[in-house]
Amino acid sequence: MQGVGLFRPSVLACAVLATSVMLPSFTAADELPTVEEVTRHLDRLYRAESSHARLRMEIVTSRWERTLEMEAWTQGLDLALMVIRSPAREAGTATLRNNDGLWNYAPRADRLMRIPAGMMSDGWMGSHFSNDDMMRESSWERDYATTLRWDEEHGNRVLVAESTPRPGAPVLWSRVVTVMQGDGWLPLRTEFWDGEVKRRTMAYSRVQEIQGRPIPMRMELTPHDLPGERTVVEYTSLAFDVALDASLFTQRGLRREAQRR
Amino acid sequence: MGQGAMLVLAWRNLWRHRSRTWIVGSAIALSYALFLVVISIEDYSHVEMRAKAERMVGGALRVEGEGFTATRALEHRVPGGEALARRLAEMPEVVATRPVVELSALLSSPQNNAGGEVLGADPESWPDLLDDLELSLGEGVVFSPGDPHHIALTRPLARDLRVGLGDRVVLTLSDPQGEVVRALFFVGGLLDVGPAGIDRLGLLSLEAAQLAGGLGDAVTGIGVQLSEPGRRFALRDTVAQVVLAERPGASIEVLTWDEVLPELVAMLEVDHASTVVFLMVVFLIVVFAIANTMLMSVLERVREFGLLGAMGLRPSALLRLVFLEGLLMTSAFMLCGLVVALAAHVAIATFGIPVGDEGLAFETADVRIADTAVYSAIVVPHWAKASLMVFVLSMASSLYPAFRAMRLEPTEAMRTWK
Amino acid sequence: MMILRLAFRNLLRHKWRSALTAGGIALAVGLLIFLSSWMGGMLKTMVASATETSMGHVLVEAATGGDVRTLHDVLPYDRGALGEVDRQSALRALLPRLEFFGLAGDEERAQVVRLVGVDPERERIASSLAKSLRAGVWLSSRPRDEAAALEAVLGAALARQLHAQVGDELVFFTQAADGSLGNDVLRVVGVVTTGHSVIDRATVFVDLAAAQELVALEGYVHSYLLLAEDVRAVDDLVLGVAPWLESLAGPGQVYREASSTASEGVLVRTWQEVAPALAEMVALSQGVAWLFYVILFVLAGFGVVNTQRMSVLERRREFGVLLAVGTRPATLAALVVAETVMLALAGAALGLAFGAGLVLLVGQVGLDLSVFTAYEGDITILGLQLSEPMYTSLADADLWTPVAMMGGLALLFALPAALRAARMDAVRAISGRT
Repeated sequence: MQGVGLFRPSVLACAVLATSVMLPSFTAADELPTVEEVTRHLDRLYRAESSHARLRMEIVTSRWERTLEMEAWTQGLDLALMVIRSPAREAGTATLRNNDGLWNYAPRADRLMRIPAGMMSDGWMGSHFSNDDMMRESSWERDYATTLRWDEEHGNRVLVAESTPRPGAPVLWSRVVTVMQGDGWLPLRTEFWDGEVKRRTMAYSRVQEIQGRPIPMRMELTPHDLPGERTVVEYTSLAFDVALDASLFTQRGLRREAQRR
Repeated sequence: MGQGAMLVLAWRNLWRHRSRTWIVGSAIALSYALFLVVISIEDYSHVEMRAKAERMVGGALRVEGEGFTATRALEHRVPGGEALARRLAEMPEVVATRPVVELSALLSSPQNNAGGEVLGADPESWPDLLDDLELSLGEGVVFSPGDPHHIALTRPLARDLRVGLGDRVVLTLSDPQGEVVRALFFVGGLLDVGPAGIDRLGLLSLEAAQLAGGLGDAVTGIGVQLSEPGRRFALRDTVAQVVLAERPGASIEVLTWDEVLPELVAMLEVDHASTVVFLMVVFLIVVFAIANTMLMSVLERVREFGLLGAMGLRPSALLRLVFLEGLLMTSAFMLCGLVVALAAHVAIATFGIPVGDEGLAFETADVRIADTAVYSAIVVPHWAKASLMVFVLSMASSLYPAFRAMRLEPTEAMRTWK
Repeated sequence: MMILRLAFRNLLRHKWRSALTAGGIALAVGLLIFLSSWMGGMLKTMVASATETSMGHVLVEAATGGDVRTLHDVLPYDRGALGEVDRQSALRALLPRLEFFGLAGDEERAQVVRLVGVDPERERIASSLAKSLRAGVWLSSRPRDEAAALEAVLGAALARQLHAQVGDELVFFTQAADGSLGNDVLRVVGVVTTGHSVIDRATVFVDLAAAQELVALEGYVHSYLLLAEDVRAVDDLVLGVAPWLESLAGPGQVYREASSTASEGVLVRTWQEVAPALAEMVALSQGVAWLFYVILFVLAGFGVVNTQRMSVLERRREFGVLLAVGTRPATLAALVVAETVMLALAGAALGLAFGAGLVLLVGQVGLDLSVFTAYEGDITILGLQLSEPMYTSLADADLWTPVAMMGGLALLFALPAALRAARMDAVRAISGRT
């Protein structure tokens, strides 16, 4: 689950999907796959050294709505760059994560600013995703233990993955539930629970095959304690294992990209 | 004339002029009492501020990594903190030591984030922890020995995070190597905050804090309580030597609490200076009142002195008589004044002078005082100084005019009707 | 009138004694005038500092119905309309303010700060911010050069933490009211120390128009600070600007108290309501001052009482004769009282001159208390700059209370001697036997 960079829970769903592609002999009978098998496949399939994507993010809050268009690159575990392309007012604003830390770039100032470690959990660009979600390496396996089970929804069979934090894992959700279609294991949604209260739901749709991997191109995050609000992210283009210049993830590289177009 | 007879005569002289004695005496008693009360009220607030500062620092001295106070970065830590604290506690001049870990962290809950101070402490070495921080236990427990995931939060902080007992909280901070690390906690206690307490604080056990910060066995500071806090500047070097012996090569420094909070010390010094100016004004007025009344009294008795001189009393004996009168009056009335001052002190120290509901909210260099009443404290050297000043002044006021009167011719003096 | 002339002549007969007694009173009056000026000045500075930098004498904000104040609790801002309000006679100054949080820093470090948009010219004239500069200059009122960095004035402790000096540049990010990411580059032009930790440790002042644009709240502010011509007539000020307040919110939507139901409209509070602790401190100081007046005058009064007692004693024969020829005892008593009062008033007049002189002297020369400490840095508490010399001013001094008090107390002090004079037995007095 390394390298893709964004929205870790969705990657778990991808991992589950992968097994359905790579093991055609496995029929969706009553046997549950083991989580270990899933994880192993995941490692092989989704280990991408790098990625390059264009996304559109739509944010709806009780006070305003806005839509951003961004371009993003990741490399390895630690490097990630995200640049806003639209709207014009914010075009050129960027966030960079590299080995030295987390940085914001202000295009008007043509200056970088280090983001203190403490700001990691704040909403990124006003969305409902945190800096953490966007930029941190995935530590899903390390932090959560997952079990799989079958269930039924609206008359259809679904595969439910329940992840609970391992003892001592510094994560906030006491339970993460991913619901997938019983056939084909397309992810439907991921629910984030805090005790008995469901705090957020991420819904997946518009699955496309990218370089042999089925990826849900649209993700909608709904926070339940803020009625009417949501953030929707949709990939408009996505590529894995692209050749990236190492200098891209430096301050110089960031400036170059930010000032382009 | 024998000494004893002189004394009796002096005493009787005082009471022959009852109203005069009472007037002058009351002036002495009242001024003296006023002086002492003003001094003790100011002393109270300074003593309290210093005590609070010392409590905050952890003791008269503080052992910490060089540069910690300026940066609060964990790289400036004291390795082997608890062991060092124990070693220092063995020193004869040391009453107790208090190792602590102070973390600046971001606290996150599923619903919100908040920056806050997180303190790792050992309740055994700091039994008055809650009182010193002006906190009280609201719900749950403060510490849970053996549980590395237990944290107690002040209520305002818990409200910010929208958490209650049992909820998850993640701490994010930078470890000594500068890496961002996270640690999981469960809210095990909620703390109520007094008026001068830090309203956003998390409390952990020392071990849990060391674990969360990746400190190993290090701490960020050791408070050292001395049996003689007044000698802390001298004892600092002694303690530093022990530290050097125990941790050669480590960049650790030993500071007095004054050096940890120089701004507070400066403020107290300047405040004291302004009180001194104020007291000087009071003193000047008092000087005049006493000297004036004394002078009048002696001038009044020129005729009497002339008579005594004519009867054979030598000038030196006359002077001695006046001196004794002055001494008796000063002593007697200063004693009265002292009694009044003590009574006032006890009353004020017990009941306090109310300063309104909001209290005197005062914050400087992070030391907050919020008293709803002003009290009184006796600092013996101050009272001694004031007593000496009033005594000398009073005696001088009685003697000088006496000198003058003495030099008159007896016959001339007797004829004086002024 | 005879009595007055007699009293006067009696006093003159014993020049030294009268001078000494009057001198004692003069000293007490003079020193207390000086102290009142000093304490009054200190209090005035503290109140002025709090009101001019943070809350005004009257604070006008959007009503929030008891909820926590957010970025979106705004009031309309119309620069042109303010000119009309300025003409209110009870109003000394009107200061619009916009404030929000953001991240400021550079490649080395960044910190959460509070950005406050102010009208530079209005603040320069009226508030004490511009006067609290430790380095650099206040914001200029020139319109901003598009390409140039935004001028900013920082709190001193904040500047220290960010390692920023005058001339340095900082990047600033914030989340604007429309959700977009506002960013700009700030150039530090000045550094202030006010003694209020919220300002000194966390606040950055910039031009209001720039701030509005940065946070996407053009045409709005978060608060108006009103400064009154006369601090004591704050309610008049509120009345005077009532029509303008109504225009901000709508009639019937102007509230004087924060209540949980009013979540729309305008909340108007006096500084005492915003900072009751400060108001109480002022009241307390005044109470303490009165206590000291009384005590110290009583002390000075001892001299008077003693003098008059002696004076009456000396004139026993004289009084005896007067009584014998038919003078009424009351007249004698009145004579003594008259003497005492004249003495006291003479002393008071002298004291007035002395006290005023002392105030003016220290007003020129200044009293530097910081020599008593070795500390090099700034010591500022609640707006009081303790590390700089204090200058006293006649405006702060209470000139007439000490004089009036002394006059009044003189009557009291005169009583013992006056009564003694009245109750004299003529025969005994003349014969000299007591």
